[in-house]
Formats: sequence, C-alpha cells, structure tokens
Amino acid sequence: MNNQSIHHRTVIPALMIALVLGCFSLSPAAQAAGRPSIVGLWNAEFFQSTGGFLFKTHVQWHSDGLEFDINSIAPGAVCMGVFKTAADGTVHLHHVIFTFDANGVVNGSIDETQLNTVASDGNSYSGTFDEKFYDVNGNFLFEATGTLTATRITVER
Amino acid sequence: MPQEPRRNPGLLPARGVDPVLGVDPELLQHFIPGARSCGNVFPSYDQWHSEGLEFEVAGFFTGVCQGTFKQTVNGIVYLYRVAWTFDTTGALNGYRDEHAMIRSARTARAIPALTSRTSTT
Repeated sequence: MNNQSIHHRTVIPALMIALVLGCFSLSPAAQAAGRPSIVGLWNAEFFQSTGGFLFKTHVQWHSDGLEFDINSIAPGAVCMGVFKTAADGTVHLHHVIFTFDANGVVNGSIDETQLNTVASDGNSYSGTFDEKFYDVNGNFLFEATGTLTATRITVER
Repeated sequence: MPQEPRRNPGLLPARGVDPVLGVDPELLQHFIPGARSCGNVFPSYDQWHSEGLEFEVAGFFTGVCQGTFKQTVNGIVYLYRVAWTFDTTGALNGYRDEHAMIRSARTARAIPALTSRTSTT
C-alpha cells in the first residue's frame, strides 16, 4: 500500500508537469524555433503518396490558430481547420470537410491532419497529410495520405 | 500604460487607422455590399482580419475570394486576392486574381480593382 501511495505521489506530479509542458509546447500561429510564421495566404498543391498530383487550394492561416481553405477540386469545396505550432516549428493542423455526391447532396465528411514546416525564408512550406473519409453516419470508408507544398501569396505578389 | 485593444467598432465606427490592429476599423467591420467583388460587381460580404487576411462571399455561385492586404500609414489599403474559376460543368478552368486599392470603406464602392484577370491553371 505504501509503495502504491509513493508511486502515485511520483506519477501524478510527473503527469501534471507533462500536461503543462504539452500545453505550452504548442501554440497557435506562434513563430517557433526561429522559423517564420505560417500566418498568411498560400497557394498549396497536394500530391498522392505515390507522387501523382491531386489538387490545388488557396489556404488562409489566421493568427488565432484557425485555418480556412478553398479547394479547386469542385465549386464550393471548402475546408476549415484549427492548428498549433510546435516548439520545433512544425505546424499541426486538424481540418474538416463535408463531401457531396454528383447531385450536390452531402454524403459524408473527411477528417484530415497535416504536419507542415515553413521554409526558413517564409515563402513556402511543405508537409504531409492524412485524410480519413467517412459516410454521413460516421462510418469509416477509407484513408488517403500524401504530401503537399505551398507558396506564399503576398499583396505585392 | 498600454491601451486596451479596441473591439468590434460597431455600426458607426470611428474613422482612422486603428493603433492596435493597424487597419481602418471600418474595413474590419464589414465591407460595403455592392462593392466590386472578385472582379465582378455583385453584392458581397467581406471579412477583414486583423492579421492582414481578407475573405469575401459574393452574391453569385462559387463567389468566394481569399485575399491578403496591407494598409499604409495614410490609410490606403492595398489588397490582392484570388479565386478559383470553374466552367458550367463544375470543372476547374482557371483562377481569377485582383489587385485593389481602397482609400476607405466609404469610398471603396467607387474604386475599382487596379487589375482583375482570369487565367488558366
């Protein structure tokens, strides 16, 4: 019993410290590890894991940690996400999308994660994505993974 | 003592450059419906975000644009924005981009885009 109590007294503070450090290690839109911020407007291209081109998007990364994306794959294809920047500079995105059939009826959703790194000059980023497709009842259908690259769009172009 | 950041300026915001946000509060409020929109003249709703990003939903199908802007010390806003374009079957056929210079929300209605073009992808 004493051993168990000592174990708890050691483990619980350690878990709390880890939790606090975890909270501070990711922050919305922050510059990290000397890297430029991802905040801004970007032209992104997505590729299959086999290398084939998938689609382009215009992506806005807001300073409050929200992301908004308009996809070129079809009219009205929009995605919304939330992101944090880790201490090592990588940008972690969780991003959701509704999907529609050919008649424009919603038929499911996509749950996507991205892990991106902004280049040191701040004008491009690259990363990986993982998309999980679900039907309207939330049943998992399939998964797609790949890579992406993006270039910054500026007022001056 | 640091000033409290100004919040939503309301329907009749003060004019001038916001010292915190660095943009005209009128522009952060909502853009004037009827302003030139994504290269066309349509009613639109426009969001101007404090970090320099703009988002517009215009009154026509697929009428969404995303932009980035800067405001100079004299209050003039320079905007560059882009939008995908699709043919009648919904297939991507290019993109539209636009440069605009806006002196203030009150005069934005009268100032057309500096450049507006449609390009193939």
